[in-house]
Amino acid sequence: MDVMLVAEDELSMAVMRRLLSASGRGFRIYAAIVAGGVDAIRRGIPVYRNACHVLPHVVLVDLDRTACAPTLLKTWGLEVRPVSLMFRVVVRTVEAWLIADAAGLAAELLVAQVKVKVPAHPEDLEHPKRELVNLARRSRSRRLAAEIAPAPGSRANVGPKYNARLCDFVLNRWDPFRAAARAPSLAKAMHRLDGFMR
Amino acid sequence: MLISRLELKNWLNFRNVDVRLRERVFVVGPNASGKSNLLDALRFLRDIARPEGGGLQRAVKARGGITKLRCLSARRDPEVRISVELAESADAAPVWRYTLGFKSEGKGLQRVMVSKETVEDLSKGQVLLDRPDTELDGADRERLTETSLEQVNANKDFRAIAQFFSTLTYLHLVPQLLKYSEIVGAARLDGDPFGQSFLEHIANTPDRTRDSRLKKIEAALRVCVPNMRDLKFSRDGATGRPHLEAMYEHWRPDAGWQREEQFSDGTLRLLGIMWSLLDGDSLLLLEEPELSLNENIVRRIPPLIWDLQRKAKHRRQVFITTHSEAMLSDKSIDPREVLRLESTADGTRVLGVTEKELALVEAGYSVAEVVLSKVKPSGVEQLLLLL
Ligand SMILES: Nc1ncnc2c1ncn2[C@@H]1O[C@H](COP(=O)(O)OP(=O)(O)OP(=O)(O)O)[C@@H](O)[C@H]1O
Ligand SMILES: [Mg+2]
Repeated sequence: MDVMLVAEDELSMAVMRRLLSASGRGFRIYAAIVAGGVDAIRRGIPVYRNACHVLPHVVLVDLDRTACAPTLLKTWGLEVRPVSLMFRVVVRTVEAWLIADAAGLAAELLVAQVKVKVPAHPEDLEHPKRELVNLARRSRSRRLAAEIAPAPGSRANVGPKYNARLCDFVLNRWDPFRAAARAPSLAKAMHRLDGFMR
Repeated sequence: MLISRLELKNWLNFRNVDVRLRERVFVVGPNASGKSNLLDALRFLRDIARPEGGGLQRAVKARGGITKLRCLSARRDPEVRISVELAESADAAPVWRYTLGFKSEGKGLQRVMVSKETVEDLSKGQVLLDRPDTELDGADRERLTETSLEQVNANKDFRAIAQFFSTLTYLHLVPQLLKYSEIVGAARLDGDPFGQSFLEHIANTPDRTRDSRLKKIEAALRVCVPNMRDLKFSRDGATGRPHLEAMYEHWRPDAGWQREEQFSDGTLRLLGIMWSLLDGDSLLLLEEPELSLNENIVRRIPPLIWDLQRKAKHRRQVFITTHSEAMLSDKSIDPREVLRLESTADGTRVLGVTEKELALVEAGYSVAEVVLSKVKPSGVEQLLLLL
């Protein structure tokens, strides 16, 4: 079945692609829209509402600072929506879902798992991205650290190859099933994907 | 007149193309998918039809010979073929169909020979030309080294087609070549694709026409370069060289005049694009007009083109190659105006709009979202890792 994917950024889109293939449902991506920020997604809602009758839509958005997913759905007027519009909220940002596969991420970033306390409940993290970047800083590979974390003194949030590295990890080595055990919002998203348009 | 349908066989990276076209044609696709090559099929027809220095042999030679021209993924069929239908407007029935097929002589001089050339007057349902014919071409094979399109005495009945092609403009204006023309020197390619003769061209335009065009351009340009006023043409008192001048408002009034050397790259490109929209009456081919322009300006290019198409004496059909999401995010773009190029193992395919895409645009998506999100090369992020 063809589906339309909508996500905030490249990394979220990579996560969605991975989840779609992990679902084993044979979804085909008709088009993948990287909206460029949460505001763009919110503005797009009327469009997704219409367009999901042409093509099933899967939209992924970060909860970020909003209190909880139901609040977000309510303020966005999404409590009731067409069955062909799947709208999933990540608690709190997609990096939490990456951190939730602790073993996979530790191997990827070349950090000794014992040295790092990977949080048991990554969804409780207030700044998952910062956490992930800090984790990369402890990598045995200085190059990897420099690619993912911003240079000392830089005012940027991430390093130059943050997206490239992490998208590659997500698509090829991240284990969503292992991650789902520690990230309830991910488990729920996978469950919904399992039943989507059946 | 405009091209309402284009068919290609074995042309560069296209093995088989058949598409309908409208007044604006946005050609999108990844790098090296063949956007410029698609435009080149039309420039090729111009190169044949051009009154001075035209002709099939020269047009093929300029492209490195038929071995370079013929699609690498072509099968046994050695023929390269281009066919176009011309109509008065996009929704009107076509009035002309011109078809040109050619292949290598296969021996001796390895010249290119016309294997098919037909002209149909579709409004009257008449075939005006059908080559090779047994009578003339059969008696003298030499004739097949030339098209009828390129010969004034042979194209009498379809001069309109020859004229249409020969006046086509291709513009890929390079501001630096214009600014530093004295240093770069006089070398020009046929048809001045890089806009090096832009100023001479303006100089050769009758005064009244020129002034009225510059006024229209200045008005349109104001949105993009708000502090520019009094765009005008001038000649250097000493050398007689043509120039464009404009007043930049926020400077001291007596120091505000600037010449084209001082215009920004983006201003010059816009000037070139707008001038060519107002000039001429045939096809206009624009390569990546978004270059050196701010995204907010790029967003305004589609309405700008629409506007100038209506202000011009003759409404030119415009082909635009682009990579720009901003340009295609304009909601007034009809998805039928977009050609999407997709590379396959079997050559590039040119896809018109699908029913699904039409429905998605109707639902509120922009063409950029529906079409460009498919064009995006996949795995670009990962590509970075190979560096
Ligand atoms: N005879 C031929 N057969 C098949 N492919 C060809 C032939 N000649 C050139 N090509 C291919 O065409 C491609 C170049 O196409 P073109 O310059 O039109 O791309 P483009 O879409 O304009 O790209 P860009 O966006 O980078 O300008 C090259 O990859 C080249 O290999
Ligand atoms: Mg090109």
